[in-house]
Formats: sequence, C-alpha cells, structure tokens
Amino acid sequence: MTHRYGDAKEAFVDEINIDEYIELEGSKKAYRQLEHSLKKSTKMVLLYGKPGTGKTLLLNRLFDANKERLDLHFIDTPSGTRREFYKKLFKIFTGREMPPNTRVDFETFVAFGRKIKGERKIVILLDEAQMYPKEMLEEIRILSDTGSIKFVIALHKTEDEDLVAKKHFQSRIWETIELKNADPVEIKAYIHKRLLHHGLTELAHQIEDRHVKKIHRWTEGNFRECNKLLYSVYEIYEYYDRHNPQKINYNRFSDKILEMAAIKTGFIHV
Amino acid sequence: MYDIDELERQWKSYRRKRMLLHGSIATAILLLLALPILYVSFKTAKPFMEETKPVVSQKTGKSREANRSESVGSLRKREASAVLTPEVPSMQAPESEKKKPKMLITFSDASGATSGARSGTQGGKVEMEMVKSANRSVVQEIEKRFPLSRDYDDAMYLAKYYYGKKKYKKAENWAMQANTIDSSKPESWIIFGKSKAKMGHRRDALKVLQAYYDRTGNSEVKMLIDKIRKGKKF
Repeated sequence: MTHRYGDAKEAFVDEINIDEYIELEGSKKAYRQLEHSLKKSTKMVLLYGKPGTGKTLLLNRLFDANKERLDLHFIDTPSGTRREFYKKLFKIFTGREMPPNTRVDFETFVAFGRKIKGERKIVILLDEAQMYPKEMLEEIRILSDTGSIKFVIALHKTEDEDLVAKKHFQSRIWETIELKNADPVEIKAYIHKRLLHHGLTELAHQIEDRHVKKIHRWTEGNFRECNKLLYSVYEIYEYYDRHNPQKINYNRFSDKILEMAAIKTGFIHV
Repeated sequence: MYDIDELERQWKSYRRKRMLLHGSIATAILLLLALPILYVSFKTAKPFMEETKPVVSQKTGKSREANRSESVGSLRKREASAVLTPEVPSMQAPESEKKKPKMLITFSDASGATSGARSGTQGGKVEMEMVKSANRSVVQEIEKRFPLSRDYDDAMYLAKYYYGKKKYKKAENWAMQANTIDSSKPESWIIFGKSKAKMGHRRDALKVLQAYYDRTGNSEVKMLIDKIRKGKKF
C-alpha cells in the first residue's frame, strides 16, 4: 500500500518528461497546429499561454518528434547575456562550439542567414522568451527576416509580456497558438491518465467528478498547479498509510485529505 | 514531512468555518422562503378564522358554524334527503339579512382599474365578465369581508371566480355558502352542481340539481341536468 501512494505521488512530480506527456484534446490541437506551422513558410510562430498550461512540454514533444527530419533546434533555457545567446546561435548554424576568445558580431549571423537562404531551413524553438531582454528579441526578429531561420517562440501570457510580443513580433508573426487552461473534463482526463500511466488504475477510479470539480476550481485548470495539489494529496496519503492507516479509507478518495492538501499548498486559506 | 497535526488542526478550523457559512446561507434562504409564505398564510387564514363565528339560523336557531362545520359527507346526506322530501333543506338567511342593502362589490377590469357596482343590479353576463377579469386582491378583499357581510352576491362572486379558475372544491364551498344565505336562487345550485360534476361526482350533482328542479321547475337547471346526464359540455 505504501508503494502505491508513493507511486501516485511520483506521478504528479512537476518535471518536463516526454514520457509523462499526457495527450489531451486541447494540447493535441495545439500540437497539430504547431507541427503544421513548421511546414509552412512562416517566419515566426508564437505559442503563448498562462504558466503551467504545457507550453514547454509541447515544445519538447515537438522537438523530440521532429529533430531527426528537420533542421530543428531547441533553446529551452533563456540566455542571460547576448554572448551566451550568440554562442548558442553559433552552434546551431555551424554545428560546432564557438572557439574560446572568439567574438562574433550580430551582423555576421544576419549575413550567414542570408547566405544559407534556399539551402537550409533552420527552425529554432525558443522557450521562456519573455525572459529575453528587448534588444535580443529585436535581434531575433531581424534574424527571422532573413527568411532562412524560423523561430517558434513560447512565452507567458501576462499583460506586459503580451505587450512585448505584440511590440516586437506582431508584424512578423504569421501564426499564433494559444494554450488555454484546462476545463474540468480535461483536468479529470489528465489526472486519470497520469495515474493510469503509473499503473494506478484503482486510485484513478476513486477520483470522482465532485473531486475534480474542486481541483479544477482551486487550480483554475492549470496543470502545474494540479500537479502540485495532487502531489501533496498523495504525500499526505503516504504519511497516513505509514503512520496512521486507520485514518484512511482505502476504497474512497478522501475529501478531507484533498482539502488538507489544498490548505498545505495554499489553495485554501484558513 | 510537515507537521500533520497542525495541518489537521487547520483543516478542522476550515471545516468549522465552512459549516458555519453553509448553515448561515441555508438559514437565510429558509427565512427568505418562509417569510412570504407566512405572510400569505396569515393574510388568507384570517378571514377563514373569522368565518367560523356563529351566526344564528332563522329556522333552526342553530349556529351557522354548526352548519358549516359539517363535513361534505353530511352535506351530501342533506342533499340526498332534499331529493327524497319535497322540502329541500333550507339554509336560507334571515329575512333581515335578505333585505339589507347589497354590498358593494369591487371589481377590476382588464386594465386593472377597479370600480364599484351594486351586485344585485348586475345581469348574469356582466357578472361573469366581472368574475373573469377579477384579480386576486379583489378576491381576497371579498373573502376577508364575507364573514361580516354574509352577502349572497359576495359568496356567488367567489363561487363563480373559483369555478372559472377550475378550483371546483372551493367553488362548491362558496356556492354552498351562498345557498345557506338564499337557497331559492338557482345560481348557487347550478354552480354547486357543476362543481360536483367537474370533480367527477356526477351522481351527487344530479341528485342535488334534480331536487331543486323538482321544487322549482327551473328550466336552466333542467338543461344542466340533461347536459350532465348526456355527458355534454356545460
């Protein structure tokens, strides 16, 4: 029994793992749209949505599925400095690490982009784009204008960041894809699939619609928040299982534990 | 692991607050629902309570309360005896009551405007139109004053109103009230009989109407008897 709750807890560890990817209707649609946009001659694609809606996981999946057949590259962590970003670009363009004590101007990258036009079609997936300084975003825009480099940019949808996206990319972005928070049906499917993925069929079936309704209300359909809450739920279950098993009904999902987890994770303020 | 006892304590506090909140909401809803019901029941109960005040009967000297408190079953018995004996049981009002001026019946037209008319001067057709267009407040007003007025037209007004509203039990009761005041007029017999028949008591309706017809030979009552017998619409 202990292992069961431990496994359930692990099922909701919030990490980017392609194996843990749960295909839901909303993300399936966005993925198809993204994959289709890779084939088109668009210069830029903007993938946006609130934190925790699955943008990074979607980019990871897109990269994993297409890296062999396309000139596809994934910059998952934002570059703090321009030099760091140039290093990454150098490796993408040449396939080699930038030699130490070497300095490359931005103009060189633009010239390179123009030179390879028609020969190569580079696609760069850029995650957490809202963390790039404005100047670097401007350079990304100019690079995309060369016509040989396509950027798929993922950023959070906040008022400011949306403004950044509009300001810098609106004229270039040919396609925008929004990832929305899940509805209760999707949240239910997500929780069930996660548990089933870990072989926890019995636990999956214990979660009823009224529990899902609460989870959805508290997490607002955000997968990251949902992971946080469910992790905490099974952490409490695991604790009781080890130290106070008479407090658990093994056949039913406990409203009490769900509410305790919500208190612990800050969804309920006492 | 975090402090589970503290978490449990917080959860208990949360549940307590939730219970209090739900309890308050439920109480508020119940109060909101109950207040209008209590108000309406108080308003409607008052005239009926007053109705049961004793009124001396001319013939028997017994109180009207005793007459009215009789069950419908006993009423049927009386109606049955009316058929058997030529003298139909009289629930007539005293002469003094009969001769007293008719009460002013307030009624409203379709637009909701109210006006007054001496009910005694109303023709049957006009009266029926008045009943149809009456609103609930007028009916309540008449019901309220009836125990004091004991007016035949008031009772008939209410009998016709409830008959029009397909509230046949009430229509029957008010027709009976009218009959206790003046049993010589055919209207109360007709509404009484019609209400009985509408409630499915065709045999009772025919007995009562036949008793009245035998005594008076009223053609309108005869037509109604024929219609009920043949199952025609009335």
